[in-house]
Amino acid sequence: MNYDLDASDKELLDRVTALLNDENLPDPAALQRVEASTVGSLLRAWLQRLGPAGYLAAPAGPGLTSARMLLAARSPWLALAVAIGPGLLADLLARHGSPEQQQRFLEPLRRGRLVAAVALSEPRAGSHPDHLATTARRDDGQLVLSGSKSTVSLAPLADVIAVVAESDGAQALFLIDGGQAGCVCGSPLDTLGYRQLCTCPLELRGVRVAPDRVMVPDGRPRGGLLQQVRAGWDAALADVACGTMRLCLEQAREAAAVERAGGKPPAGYQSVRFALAEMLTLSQTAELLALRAAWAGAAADRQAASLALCAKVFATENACRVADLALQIMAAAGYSRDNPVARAVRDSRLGLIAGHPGQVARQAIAGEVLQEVELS
Amino acid sequence: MDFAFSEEQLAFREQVLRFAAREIAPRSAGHDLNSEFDHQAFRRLGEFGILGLHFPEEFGGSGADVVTTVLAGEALGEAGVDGGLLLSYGAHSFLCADTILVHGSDEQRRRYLPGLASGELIGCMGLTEPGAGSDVAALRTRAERRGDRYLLNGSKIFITNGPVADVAVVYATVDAAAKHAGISAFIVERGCKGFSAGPPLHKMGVRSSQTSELFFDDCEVPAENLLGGEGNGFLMALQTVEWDRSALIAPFVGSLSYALKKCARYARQRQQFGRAIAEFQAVRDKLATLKIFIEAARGLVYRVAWCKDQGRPLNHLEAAVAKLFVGDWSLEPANAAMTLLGGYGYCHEYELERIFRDGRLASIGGGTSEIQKLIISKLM
Ligand SMILES: Cc1cc2nc3c(=O)[nH]c(=O)nc-3n(C[C@H](O)[C@H](O)[C@H](O)COP(=O)(O)OP(=O)(O)OC[C@H]3O[C@@H](n4cnc5c(N)ncnc54)[C@H](O)[C@@H]3O)c2cc1C
Repeated sequence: MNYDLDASDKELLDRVTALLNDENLPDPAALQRVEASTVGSLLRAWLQRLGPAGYLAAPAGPGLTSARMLLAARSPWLALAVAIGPGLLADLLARHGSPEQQQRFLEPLRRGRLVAAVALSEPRAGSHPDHLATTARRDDGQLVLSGSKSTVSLAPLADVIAVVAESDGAQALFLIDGGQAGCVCGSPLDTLGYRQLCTCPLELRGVRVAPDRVMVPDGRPRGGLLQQVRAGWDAALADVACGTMRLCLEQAREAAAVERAGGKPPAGYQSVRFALAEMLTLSQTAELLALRAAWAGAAADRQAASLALCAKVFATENACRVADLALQIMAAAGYSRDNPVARAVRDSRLGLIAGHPGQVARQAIAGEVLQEVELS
Repeated sequence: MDFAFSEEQLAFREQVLRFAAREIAPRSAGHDLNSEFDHQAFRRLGEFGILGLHFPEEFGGSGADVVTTVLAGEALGEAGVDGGLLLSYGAHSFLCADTILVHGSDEQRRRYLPGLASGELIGCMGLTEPGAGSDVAALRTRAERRGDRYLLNGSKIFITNGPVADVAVVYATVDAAAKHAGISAFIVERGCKGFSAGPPLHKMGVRSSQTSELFFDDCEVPAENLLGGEGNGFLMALQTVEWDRSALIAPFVGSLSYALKKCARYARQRQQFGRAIAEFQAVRDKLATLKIFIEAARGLVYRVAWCKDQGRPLNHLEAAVAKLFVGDWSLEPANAAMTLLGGYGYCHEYELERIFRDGRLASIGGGTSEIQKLIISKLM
């Protein structure tokens, strides 16, 4: 047992810390106007520095999880965008991509040269996308994609979009170029939070895809690909939720220390101090659980899937709680639209919904418990 | 990072689980119902090597590290041993014996530890007083030096194992004006002149552990029974609370694992509306609540243990976070477990109401949740 990060993980954290302190990089936390072009250039600037820092090639495990928490503590949206776009596609390519696909996409993704999006959810297949309406038919040696996706984050910014669709009775990933003929992004949705993700609907109107741009995970049970996309989102959301908790705690702690009229800072009141203590407790508990889940995944531990779901549920639910507590401490300042805590209150709600939504995750956790009892 | 237990640790955990499930847990219900201390089970814990697990071999122990010790405690809970016996074991092994192990002279260790390891002697620790609970430094029990002895006067309350203990580690002040700096620890033996214990208190839970007042009425304690030097008691007490916040709460986390298994089995078997209740989403939700809590708590509890093994001094923040989380966030899962069994959950025979009652202590004993929040907010 060892609760300390390995030396190489610590080095990754040091490199990310250096980037966070680099004044030449645009501050993602200061992004006020949310237009695809502004977000896109900021995201690219960061990707191009995160790549050489080794962040985009870091294998899933405690190192990447810690680095994501660190980045998210500065900017939850940036950490999430990197994880569920380029990060997720890189992970899928590493597992299922052919050598040519890896050469063509994986290397540039890891160097931070590509913005990617993954398109899964459909209007009629949200929490249970077992049977997708988006399909690919063969035509003249190529595959032709048709269907619509409801909520695709980063789609308007993406150089490459990985579309999950039904093809020949299996689910496969189709790598299409952003802006390819027939691929139409709708206007970004007016979402409660995470507006920087520019989440939008995507119409696929006969998009032609060459066979070498298709990844079919072979030898896997049906739904395996969906599970992987979901699991990628879950891990990202858990880590980002932990970072969000750190951010909220920091903001609230600072605000609580400021002297107010009457001569007493908010931290002079026990209820404020106790709220900070609760926030720290939830934050540390969530971080340890997320780190343990990441470790279990990397170690192929028997409990990995269940721990990942536990971490996702615990971290995302409590990020909402911690953000609410921070807002209460910061009062009017925290209620201002562009305050990081006000954003965290809005953003953190996504964690309850995306990936395995809370209720679905809980059912799956219970399923594992019931199965274990049957086995023992 | 590596969250795996070693092969040996896992093998030992299995042994403890099997031993406790076979020999100890079946005795729990009766002792809890009758609020009786289980002398026989306590001795068996000693014979099996649990009571002195982390003591060096020369003092009757096995020299186990803290993580292994905590793992064994969790396994006892997971085997279904009642919280009362587990609290008695905790107060004995950590609050009393460990203080002697860490701060005692060689003579004191030789004299008390082998008997405490075997269970031949039962230990307790007296810190809390009627007027000094959370505010430990306000304790009033006085110790006056008189030649080769100290005279102790005062009383203690809520002392686990008080009525059955042979050896008590008692905190008293040699200089009330000096506050913390006056607090000192003494080893007081049963039968010592002027020392007596009150009758067991009737409690909501942890009933098989006997809790009582201790009275010191010109109690004569030989000077060589001073533990760790005059004025060092406050720091010693702080050190023991690390155990309080890891080894003492681990068994309760184990108890919730026991509850989870019981609930899962019940949910598969119990039929309502023509199907197993495990098929109802609300029932599965309760199982998930338990599982998430257990995994979250384990990460915290083993962090304290691991930090202790690394020799990192006074891990107060980590310890307080673990204690606060287990104390306050266990209420919902413990309640969920009881509710999952419906009416049976409310009946003694099904053990879940006992786990609920026993667990309720976690946010009170060894420093209330409010005190943990005070500590955390000071250290953060
Ligand atoms: C079953 C059981 C076994 C025990 N075993 C032992 C033992 O073996 N040895 C031993 O020495 N003690 C033992 N105790 C005592 C235990 O440690 C104390 O009960 C505990 O520390 C709280 O003290 P108190 O009961 O006097 O409560 P009080 O200190 O009087 O607290 C009353 C309430 O006020 C709150 N409070 C107090 N101070 C503050 C503050 N500054 N800010 C906010 N809230 C505050 C508390 O959180 C609590 O809610 C045991 C208790 C029980 C119930």
